[in-house]
Amino acid sequence: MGQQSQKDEEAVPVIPNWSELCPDLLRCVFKRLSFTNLNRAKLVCSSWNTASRGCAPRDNQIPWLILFPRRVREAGNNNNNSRSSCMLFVPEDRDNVYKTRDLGVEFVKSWCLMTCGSWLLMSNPRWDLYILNPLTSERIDLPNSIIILKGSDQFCFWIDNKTKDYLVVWMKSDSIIFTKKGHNEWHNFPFIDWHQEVVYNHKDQKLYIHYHNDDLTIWDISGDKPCKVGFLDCFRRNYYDFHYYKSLRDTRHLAVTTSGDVLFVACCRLQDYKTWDFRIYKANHMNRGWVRIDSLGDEALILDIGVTVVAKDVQGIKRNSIYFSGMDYAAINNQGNNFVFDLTTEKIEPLPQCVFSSIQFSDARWFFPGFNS
Amino acid sequence: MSSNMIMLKSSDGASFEIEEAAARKSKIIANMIEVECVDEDKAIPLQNVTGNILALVIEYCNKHIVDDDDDVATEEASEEEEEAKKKKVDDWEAEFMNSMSLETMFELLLAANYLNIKSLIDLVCQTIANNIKDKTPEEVRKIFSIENDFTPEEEEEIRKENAWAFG
Repeated sequence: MGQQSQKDEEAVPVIPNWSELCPDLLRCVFKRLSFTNLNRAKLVCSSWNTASRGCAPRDNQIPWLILFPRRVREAGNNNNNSRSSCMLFVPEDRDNVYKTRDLGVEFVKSWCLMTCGSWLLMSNPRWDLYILNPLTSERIDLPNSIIILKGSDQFCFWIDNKTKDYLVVWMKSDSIIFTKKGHNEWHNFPFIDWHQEVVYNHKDQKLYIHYHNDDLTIWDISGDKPCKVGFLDCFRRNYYDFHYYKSLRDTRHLAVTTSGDVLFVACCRLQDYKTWDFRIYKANHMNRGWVRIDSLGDEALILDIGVTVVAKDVQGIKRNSIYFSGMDYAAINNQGNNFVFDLTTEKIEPLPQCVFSSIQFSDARWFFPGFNS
Repeated sequence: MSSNMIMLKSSDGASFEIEEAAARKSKIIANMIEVECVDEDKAIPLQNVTGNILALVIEYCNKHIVDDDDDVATEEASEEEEEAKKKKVDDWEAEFMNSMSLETMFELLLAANYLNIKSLIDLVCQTIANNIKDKTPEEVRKIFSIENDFTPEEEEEIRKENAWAFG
């Protein structure tokens, strides 16, 4: 490099003004920050705040783990005010655990039934159900119900982060009721047969119910009265897919892929309590019936929410994996219940012990802030 | 590979000779060469870049043009060699950015943006992001000499929106 000193004009020194850096370049910096770091950067100055809002990956793309505080009766007389906050483990910031604001006395007495996006479906000890955003403390109370919640009840919960349109389906052993935004009561579902699994397909906005007789029906629930609008082929599992004699407990789940396909997921826990196994089936529209699939490709299945998400080249989420929280009331505080199951290796990836060893918690769920905004 | 040399002239009048291949790292200069508006005897004037910053840009481009040549020459290189080479570049980039003040980084970012050198924009932005990471807003303001221009109400509103991120 040859440099010739031919200064024919004076350089004007640039005084860096980081708050006046052009928004495109600010965004180029911001898109390299994790979701949590970006949210802190918003508070630096108003131009950073404005620029950060137009930042492309402003939405979180990975599931976090939310750890619930020990309930009051478990926590004894320990008057520690941190007990009404949740801890958040964000896999891309492996060394950090974040704390939510104080979520109040009622929250500590409540328990979590489901999560969806930034929201939790909670029940207090009086069986009053409510929806809570633990990041903002925003709360939506659901209509009172005369029905008493039982441990075996299942729920289907969907909420749109932006419009806050929500749907809660409550499945008891002999009936199904549901409520949604703008409705002050629970509506009954016509009884057909014992139901087993339910999933809300946010792509076609229909409810998919799998009955005990293997019927799989599709319901339009846009009105007060649910309307049956279609069906999928009966799902009959190949019993040779699992070694049943070794199985301790098996559960089935429905899930919806990014392209709107419905998946059947069978999950099996073997008798050693440590080994889990999964089988995934997809409706085959060409030949009818269901076919077993071995891989989710570049997607990851968040079984708690019943959806797959794109996981290719995203830091903090593993492709071709299943994110699973035991959903087992009897096994509360059992660390082995929250894990990532890698379909490629068929192995469970344990969560970092540093997260769990130092925190006392009553329950933990996968939680996906910003997922459906 | 052409070994043509071209001249660049900074806003404060300093001239630099640079290999065309290195200069092509800048999309703006590459375009100028394409449309043949580069006169061989005349330097390309860069009105928005001072000499000391242009020297850094040229240092970066020279380093990376060598690496690109290597890539072509050793297509059959083993994975280990590839990794070693990548590590060498990463180490060089870390060293290059490490010795730089935030003021220089600011000017270098503007220059990389003006000259449209994407990999350099990425490198500088990543370094700036590393300086923001895991710090409180107060710490970030101090490091970057940014004035807090929020009213207490606005600040409270944003804090409320993201209370969990500050715990």
